[in-house]
Amino acid sequence: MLGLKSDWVLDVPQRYYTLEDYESNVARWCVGCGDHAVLNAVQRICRDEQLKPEKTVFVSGIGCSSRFPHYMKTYGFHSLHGRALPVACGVKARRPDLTVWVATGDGDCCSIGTAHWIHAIRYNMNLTVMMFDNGIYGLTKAQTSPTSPIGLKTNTHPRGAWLPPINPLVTTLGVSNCSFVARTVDWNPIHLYNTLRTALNHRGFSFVQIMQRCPNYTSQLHQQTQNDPSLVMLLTHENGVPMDDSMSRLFKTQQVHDPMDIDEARELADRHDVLPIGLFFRDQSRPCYEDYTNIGLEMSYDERLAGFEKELDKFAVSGPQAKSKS
Amino acid sequence: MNTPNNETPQTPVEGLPPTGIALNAGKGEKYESGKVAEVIAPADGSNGVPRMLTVSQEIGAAEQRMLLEELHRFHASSPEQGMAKIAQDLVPALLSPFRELEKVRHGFPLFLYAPGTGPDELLCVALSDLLAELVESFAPSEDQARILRDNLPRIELFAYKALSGQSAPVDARNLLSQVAQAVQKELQLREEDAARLKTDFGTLLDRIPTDGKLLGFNDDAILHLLFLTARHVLPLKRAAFKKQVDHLRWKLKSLLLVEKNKDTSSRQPEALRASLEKVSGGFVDPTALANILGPARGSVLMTPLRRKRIEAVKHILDEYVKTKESSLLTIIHEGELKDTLAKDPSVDCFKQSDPCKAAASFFDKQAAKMADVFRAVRIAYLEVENAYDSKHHDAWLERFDWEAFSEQEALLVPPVVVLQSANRLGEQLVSLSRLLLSGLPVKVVVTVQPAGQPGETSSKDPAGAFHFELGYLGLSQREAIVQQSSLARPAHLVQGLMQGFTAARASLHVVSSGVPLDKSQPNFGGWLYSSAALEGRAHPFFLYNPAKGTSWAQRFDLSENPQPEQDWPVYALPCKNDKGEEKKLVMPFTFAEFALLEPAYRGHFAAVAPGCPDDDLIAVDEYLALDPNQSTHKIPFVWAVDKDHQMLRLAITRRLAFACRDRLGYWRTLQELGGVNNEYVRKATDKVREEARAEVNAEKARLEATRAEEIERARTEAAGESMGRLAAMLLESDLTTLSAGGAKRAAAPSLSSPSADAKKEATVEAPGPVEEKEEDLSFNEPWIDTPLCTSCNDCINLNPQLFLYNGNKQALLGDLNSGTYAQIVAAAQKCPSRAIHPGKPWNPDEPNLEELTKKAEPFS
Repeated sequence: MLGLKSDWVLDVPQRYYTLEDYESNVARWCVGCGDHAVLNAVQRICRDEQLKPEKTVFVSGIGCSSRFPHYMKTYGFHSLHGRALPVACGVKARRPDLTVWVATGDGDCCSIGTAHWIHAIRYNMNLTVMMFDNGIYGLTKAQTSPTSPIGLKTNTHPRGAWLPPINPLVTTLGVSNCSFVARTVDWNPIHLYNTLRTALNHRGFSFVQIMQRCPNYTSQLHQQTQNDPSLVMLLTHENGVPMDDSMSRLFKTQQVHDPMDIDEARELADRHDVLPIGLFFRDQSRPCYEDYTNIGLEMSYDERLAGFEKELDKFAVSGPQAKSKS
Repeated sequence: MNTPNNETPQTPVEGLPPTGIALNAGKGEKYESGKVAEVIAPADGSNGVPRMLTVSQEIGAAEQRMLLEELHRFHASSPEQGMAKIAQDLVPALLSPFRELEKVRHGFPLFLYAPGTGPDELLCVALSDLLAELVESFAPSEDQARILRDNLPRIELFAYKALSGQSAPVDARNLLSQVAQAVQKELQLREEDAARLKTDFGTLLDRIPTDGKLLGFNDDAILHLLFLTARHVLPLKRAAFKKQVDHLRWKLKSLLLVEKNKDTSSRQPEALRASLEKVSGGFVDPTALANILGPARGSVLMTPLRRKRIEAVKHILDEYVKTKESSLLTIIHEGELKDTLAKDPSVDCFKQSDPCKAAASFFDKQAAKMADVFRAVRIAYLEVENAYDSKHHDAWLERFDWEAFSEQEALLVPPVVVLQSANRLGEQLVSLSRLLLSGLPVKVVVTVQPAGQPGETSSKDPAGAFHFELGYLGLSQREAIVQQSSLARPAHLVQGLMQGFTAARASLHVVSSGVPLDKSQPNFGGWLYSSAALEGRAHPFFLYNPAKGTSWAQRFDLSENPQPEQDWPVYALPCKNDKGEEKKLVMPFTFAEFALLEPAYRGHFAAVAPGCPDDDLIAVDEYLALDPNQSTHKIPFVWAVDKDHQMLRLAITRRLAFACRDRLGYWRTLQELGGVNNEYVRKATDKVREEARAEVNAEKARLEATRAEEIERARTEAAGESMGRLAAMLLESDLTTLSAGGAKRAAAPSLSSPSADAKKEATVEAPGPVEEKEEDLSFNEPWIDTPLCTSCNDCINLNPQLFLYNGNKQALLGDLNSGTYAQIVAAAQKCPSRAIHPGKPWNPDEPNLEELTKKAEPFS
């Protein structure tokens, strides 16, 4: 209209943020830890989306990856073990204007925080949840986590883990009102970046499982998949994670998957022969809990007072009769 | 004019709604369900989506009836007696995303190229396009010049603000270097980023075309674009002409020299002494020299008359070359010009009470000056060729005036431009008409206020009468170039001016000024106003150039109008309805929408209260589509949005609806002239279609008859033949073997062959999938696959000179001489994403090379 081109919006934010504006302390993760890649991708996304640091919050629980908020020059909340999601939901409930990210690990989310995880999925609040899955408790030096594969020798299971691991994607896809489920790998920064950026731009609970390498305790866990890209299956779709030529070249095994198809998403999530990565499921139409928790937040002092008076008036004796009595 | 043409590419769309639009007839709301109309995205995200007003409390039937009656009364009334005036912050709903012009990349500031510096003879370009193109030229990848690229909108905004008080164009490099400093100051970057940005800014500024200027949107910009066009046209033509004159002068000089040499007196010792005295200093003996030179060659001298003529011509041409060039442009105006314009040395300005009338004499004066020179040039050509014949040429050259000028000569006369406002011109139409018909190459630039009536005072209600169309009057003069345009589309305006300045015929440019009729009220800026005038068909664009051909299809161009095939352009606006549901409301942009921007029309609108029954309310375009008898009881409305994004309906008066109908009528006339929705074309296509259909039906009937005949014939023949065969067989064959053998013979050819052949074909035609062989890549040079870097710091910790981070904090190779092959191999082994490829060793003196090369192999 008006002879304007499609890029007619001249959006000039008050401040321009560079990568350094999101960088805080030097990350103290081990050499070769996949978390470095996630940190860099997230900082780049923040810069590319020009998120205001003062309007951005990173909430985490306990674990290696939960040190994340320390390395971002934004607001952060390094909370209790397993409690990243309730804290994040709380922030979002009263401050819907903030961009809230959650950094949680396989132990933090899928063990002690499971109850919160299930309900947070159902609440579908607008959070970007990064679940760092290295299949081990790394911070406390190698205990079996809910996602440790059978046979993984740990301090708690020296002869190897007995039980089959939880599949976080299958679990998430099974909860009602889930709206965004994706998986990526830390060793492909392009897919990692594109997945997290897609998650950030989804309005709702965006759950991203990041397959993350722990060089000290589970270095063998992803080595084969990393060395042989054909073991990874790239999910492609026009509504999925944006593709890149290098990704198409690297990952020869591909499948077109419509993210609206939840049945196929569940089947894909349960595949064991290959590691499907990409967007499994997205439904923009699911209700968000903060839309209800926010009602009345914008009311002015006078409006609140008027409402309060109105409620109280229900119990007061009013009218000319009352006045004449007094 | 009666020539139908069907060259317009767009297919006419008759009526609304097109497919994909769900119509909620009760409320006049059309929601888009497919991708039919262009969607207008809100500028400020979801918060800015317009919301329809909700009914705060239930209204009783009696009150509803009262509201409707009041609206009916308003609709029938004149604006003076109207209801309470509507709020000033209301804009047409479709324009609500563009309310804040600072947030709209609207083509201004405009970059003006100096003559000869623009690509493809371009005169001007939007600054945003120029900057994007220049950055692309030195930083093609997204990661290069990242900060500069991200901040181009900031630069545009700063330039826009810096130009807001300036009416004249300013030097682009100066302004942009100031903007660069301001932007760098505002960004407050760290040292490294600041240095990077400064370098990129330097490169950008170096690439700004020389002597370019920046022009903001203002009332005088039309004039500056006029000057720009004149500067691009005349100097180049003058330079070419001067070259031609110089060549002729040299030829004439040679002629005179030859003549002089024929004269024996030039070889006398006295003459030689006189000419040699200064240079020889007495060393040369002129008498001896005169003897050596001998008698003159050639003795037939030219007639004194011819000699005199050549000398006179040479004198005129010498004088022309010597005298300072006259101005580029003569402007004749009636209104006041600003000092900056009036004092421009390249422009002569004259104030006249009837500029159209005065223009002819000004042109005559300019032409007379040039006529002497052109006459001299023509004589010179004839003399050089020795083809001047007094008998023929004297009389013709005697009355040599502008009418005898060639087109090239006419274009060398400094153009005379009449600058007049439509209001004043309204009283001088006879002069305008005479000027356009005179054939004089005078340019008339008229500034119009699209809401008003030329020649009428602004206090009169502009909706009361049929609109007078100046452009249409221009078209009726037939032989002049006529353009209707506005400053909101500088490219279109300059295109028309360029055609005017490069044609030896009169031209009329009717330009919308962007100034509302009622200037006392706040408005939303000239650009939005002019653009809305174009969208609402209040000031449709066209360009008519008689030189382009003999038919209207060749001469007349309507393509610059939005959706020229439609009555009104149609768009979809995302909004929330009264239930809070997000919808895309499809609506046209009509003349009434434009009128809402014009304060003088405010009294023609009244807000429809929420809760008012929808029974008689109808969208303006639907109202206009109704038969006038049916529309009597209807109230047309438009959608408007206030600054708080509240969306409401505004009913309009009958007089404004009349004005809408009038503008639509004019637009349809233009469409017909432009070959869109042309009735003749429709009739012709219907006729052709009918004829084709009849032909096809006749052919079909003929074929069917032939087929029936053939079948009948075949049947009869086959029956006869089979009967014959049967009889023969019965007579000759053994009856016991007949059935099997006969069946075999009959089945063999018909059944087996096609399927077998098909299979064969299939196997031949479908070759097995050819595996694409990937090129076996090997690299001798070390390299890093930067996009794969996970920023783990491992390589950087090994050697921060050999490995560097880019702007994305991803690794790239630094100085190879500051590190060893051993280090790069170690880094490759450590790299968690295997992004480092060590290649071959670059320093043969390094120890353990053999072992290192072996280690590097898996990574190369």
